[in-house]
Amino acid sequence: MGANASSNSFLHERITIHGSGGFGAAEVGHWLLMEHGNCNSFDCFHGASVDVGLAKGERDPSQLAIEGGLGVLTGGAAHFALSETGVETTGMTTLDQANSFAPGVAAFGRLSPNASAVLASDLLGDVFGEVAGKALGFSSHNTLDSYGNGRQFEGSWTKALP
Amino acid sequence: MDVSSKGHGPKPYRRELGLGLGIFGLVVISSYALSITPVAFFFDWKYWAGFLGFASLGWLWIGVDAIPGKRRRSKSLLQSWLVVGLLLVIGGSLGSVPLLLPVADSVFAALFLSLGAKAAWTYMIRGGLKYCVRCGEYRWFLRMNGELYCSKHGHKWERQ
Repeated sequence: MGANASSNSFLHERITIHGSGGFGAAEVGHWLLMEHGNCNSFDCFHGASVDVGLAKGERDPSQLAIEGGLGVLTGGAAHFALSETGVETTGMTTLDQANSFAPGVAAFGRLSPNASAVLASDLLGDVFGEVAGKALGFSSHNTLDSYGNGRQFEGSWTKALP
Repeated sequence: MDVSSKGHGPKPYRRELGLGLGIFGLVVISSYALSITPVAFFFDWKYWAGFLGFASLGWLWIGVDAIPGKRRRSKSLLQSWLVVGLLLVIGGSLGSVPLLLPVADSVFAALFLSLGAKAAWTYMIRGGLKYCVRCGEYRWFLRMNGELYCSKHGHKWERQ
């Protein structure tokens, strides 16, 4: 977390990715959940009733971890892919990002009750991460130490200045 | 003009409040995972063994921040997003083995609780928001080898 409360949730990064890449991460995550989850495509696309092997209304902490992990991994992969294709993710305002990732968030939230819980946690973490980041005095860009290292924040590595 | 001649001014408590809110958020997320954990698991040693293990990994995952001129921030494979993603997926997948289900159920709560604990330990217990005489401003101070250093420029803390 660097302090970024590095911690500042892993979803912070995923949200940034949604913001820049639209549905990319959500779609990959959706595919992975279909592959690994216990759902058919109809349920995944048309219902909020993805069966994750639980009785209706129950939630499973282990499933929460898997879905959170898949979110991190697919988000990381999408981020990598976007950076490889030259898509610039930095510089978007929070509102820009919110407008972009909202459809992806909605799609992801339909996957399962657990996924929604992860998402809620993520959004919560994002808000708190943002507040904490500001409180800790980190800026999104050009935060360098004397070694030229940047801090990770808002899903991007700041580069050393020449 | 000497920067220190500006005087202290009011302590920016909102920075500490922001940090506190961040930590609170992590604790809330962890609490949510705990709240959906079957109560019986809390009496199973495997749950707590898993909790301790994953909390330790979460603690190490954060690493340490850089202190300019003193140390670099942690930047190894252990501090990568890949590791935390795999940790969550593999940890959660342990639940497919009935014997290890308590371990899998501890992953999410342990990870987030350890993140919050590490933040509190680093910035509130071992470090803190203090006035840096040489910067002339309040800075977050980090502890290294028993001394406190300003996170912005690496100045050693001097009590006034």
